[in-house]
Amino acid sequence: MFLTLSAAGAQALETGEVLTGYAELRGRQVPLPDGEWTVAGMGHNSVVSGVAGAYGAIDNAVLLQLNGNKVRGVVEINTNAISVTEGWGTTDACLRDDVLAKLNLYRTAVDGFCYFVAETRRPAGVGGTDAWQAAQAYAAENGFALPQEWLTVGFRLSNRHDILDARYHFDGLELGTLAPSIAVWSPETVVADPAKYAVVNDLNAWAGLTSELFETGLRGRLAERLHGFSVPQPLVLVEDGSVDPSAIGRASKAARKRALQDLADEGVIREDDLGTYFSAVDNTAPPPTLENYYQTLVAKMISFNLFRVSVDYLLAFIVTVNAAVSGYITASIVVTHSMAQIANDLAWDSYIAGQRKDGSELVEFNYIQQPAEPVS
Amino acid sequence: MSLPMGFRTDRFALALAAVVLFCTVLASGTAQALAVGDTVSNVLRVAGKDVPLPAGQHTVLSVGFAGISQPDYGPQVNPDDYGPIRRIVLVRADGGIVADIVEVVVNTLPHPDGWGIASDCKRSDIYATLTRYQSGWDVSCMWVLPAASTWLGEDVRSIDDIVSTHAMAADLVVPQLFLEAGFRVANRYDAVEVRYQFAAMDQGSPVAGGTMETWLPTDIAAAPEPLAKVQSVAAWASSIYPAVEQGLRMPLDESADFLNPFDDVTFTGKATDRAQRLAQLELLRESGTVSPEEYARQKSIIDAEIEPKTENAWTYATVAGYKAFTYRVVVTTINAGIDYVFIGQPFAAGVLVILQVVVNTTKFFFHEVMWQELFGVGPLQRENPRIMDFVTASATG
Repeated sequence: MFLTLSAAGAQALETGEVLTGYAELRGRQVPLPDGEWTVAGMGHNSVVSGVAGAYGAIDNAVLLQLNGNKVRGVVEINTNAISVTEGWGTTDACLRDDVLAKLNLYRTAVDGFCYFVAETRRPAGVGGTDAWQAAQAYAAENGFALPQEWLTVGFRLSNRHDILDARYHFDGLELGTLAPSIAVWSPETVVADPAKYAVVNDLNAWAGLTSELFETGLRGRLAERLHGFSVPQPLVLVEDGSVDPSAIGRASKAARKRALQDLADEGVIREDDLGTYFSAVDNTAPPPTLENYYQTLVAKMISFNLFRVSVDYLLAFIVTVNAAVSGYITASIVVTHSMAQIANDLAWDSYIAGQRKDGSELVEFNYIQQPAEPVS
Repeated sequence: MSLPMGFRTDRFALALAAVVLFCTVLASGTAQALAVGDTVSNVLRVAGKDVPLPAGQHTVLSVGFAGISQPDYGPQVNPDDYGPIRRIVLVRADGGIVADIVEVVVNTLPHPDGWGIASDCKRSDIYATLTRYQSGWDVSCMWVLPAASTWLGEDVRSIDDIVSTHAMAADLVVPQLFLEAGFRVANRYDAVEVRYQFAAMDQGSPVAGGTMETWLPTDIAAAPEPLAKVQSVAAWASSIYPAVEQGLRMPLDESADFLNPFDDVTFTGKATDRAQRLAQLELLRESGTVSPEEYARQKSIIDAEIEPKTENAWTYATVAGYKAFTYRVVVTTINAGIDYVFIGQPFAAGVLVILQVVVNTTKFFFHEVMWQELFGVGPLQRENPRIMDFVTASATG
């Protein structure tokens, strides 16, 4: 009954293999934008910062998409060989403020999902991971020109056991608006330039719309979802960059409603019940936020003050037999103790939360891109 | 060939033709629905999750729904929020008797904020429980308990009536006693609960009803033969556990062959999750992918998993106790100053401080416990899963 922990029938990628729809590594699937993608390099990556469990190795693949003899897109994929037991961290790019766009859908000690849009640059020289070196050699061998400037969309998705990290590097020129002379894509310049803003907005929307498929890919069930189709290229369909926030991710309201509609269409549930379920989906309370926590602290402090005022006044009066003095004592206690209570709660809750974090907050691999240097 | 993904932005909504075509493809491409009377072997694939089945052909007895039961205290979640919960009952007959029953409960709709732990994982009055991990967002636990075809009290689970009905129609004997290995695995989005119930057999015959007392969890340690059977089921459960967990996360190999607990096989522990990861690590070392140093480092991490973890040691009471203590230290110091300033007499101020310490510490502790239990804890502390049970709702067929 020995069960391999990789997915059923998972095939290893081979250099030179041409893929459409998705790429599969260790049974996990990464959606690929429309068109043919060539596996240009395979190898193993390293965890360069942060602490991960016994993950074995990090499998690394680099895929190229061509337009004639030019490379119009590069996808690098990283995933773990052995499942860990304490989760993975997020990536720095999902936390930095200098990326062009980012969204953290969820981030806890045991799971996380985020994506970002950033301007990056192809590193000089032939270093990097084995897969990237192989991809460069493959491109050189076949006379494919690699772009220098990229607009990168990155995803980091992990659960307690596994991680899937993919970065899509799109040639800015192929996207139609980026020229080497305007390669300054800081958040400030993007906001100031409507053309750049539109491109970043579109890439951000594309990432949002691809999120559900990316999550499905970690479960190894992307083929069932795509049915031979592909993700559109960025800027093809999301023309104005608008994306409904409730449509991002596998458990988004839109995705859940669509799943319910599918169940009704299949006859699993009755059409009559759809309204009830839709209503529940619409009214689902969002996961608690830090603001909710602070509100809870204040509410708890107010609740305790109800006891505090009466009990402390009574105790003070028993000892002093003086209403005014008892009042002063009680008022002083309410003010000072309320602050002490909030501080005490914050300190303990932060400590307990810190104790419960098993893995690193950040886990980084070697990536082929470098952050673009600002050009003045 | 590229089509939109069925998402609805304003622009996407305008691309109606493509969206409609895509959705049509999706609908037509869904897996064939499971129906009563179908036979399944090796792996049950339902609602995007895979569940390993013990060896042999299983017949689907029921395809229905489960409801959700939550404790009366604590934050309540609208059960409809979890969407329809699929419940499937399968049975395998062998030699004219019902040899095993498999009850599978899975979600059909991803829930955005985790599921919960089964109350069976928290019981101390059954043969065994094991919790591999539990947090506010994911859970993995298993249990072994007795189940009976007749009602033997609240401590012994009754098997589903539909099994008896089926057995009567198919001229099968339903043994009185079954041994159940149950699992609850859940992550942020999905949940699977599976109960494998195996007929407790003695030399080819169901165990006699007259000896039920020896099978009770309280008495099992004193009955060597029943104990050995319970241990077989527990060992089998630990062997199939990785497959149950993987079936939630990824597709299982449909040709994988899973044994039965009473097969003539000794479960050596080589199929446990830990053993499999060690074997995989060894393969990576042999292939040169992992250096000897890195192999040693990672092996030590896996080896350390033998030691039970002390996670989730924070209970509401311990948190309230610690908070009450530090809070009291701080405010007693403040009180001493306030009381002395307003009263002016050290003795009277001292008496008041003592009264405040005694009365207010008690008040603070119980107020803390009340808030945590009634209103839940904040996100910084949200590490304990809610308790949630799946209960029979309705069945078709």
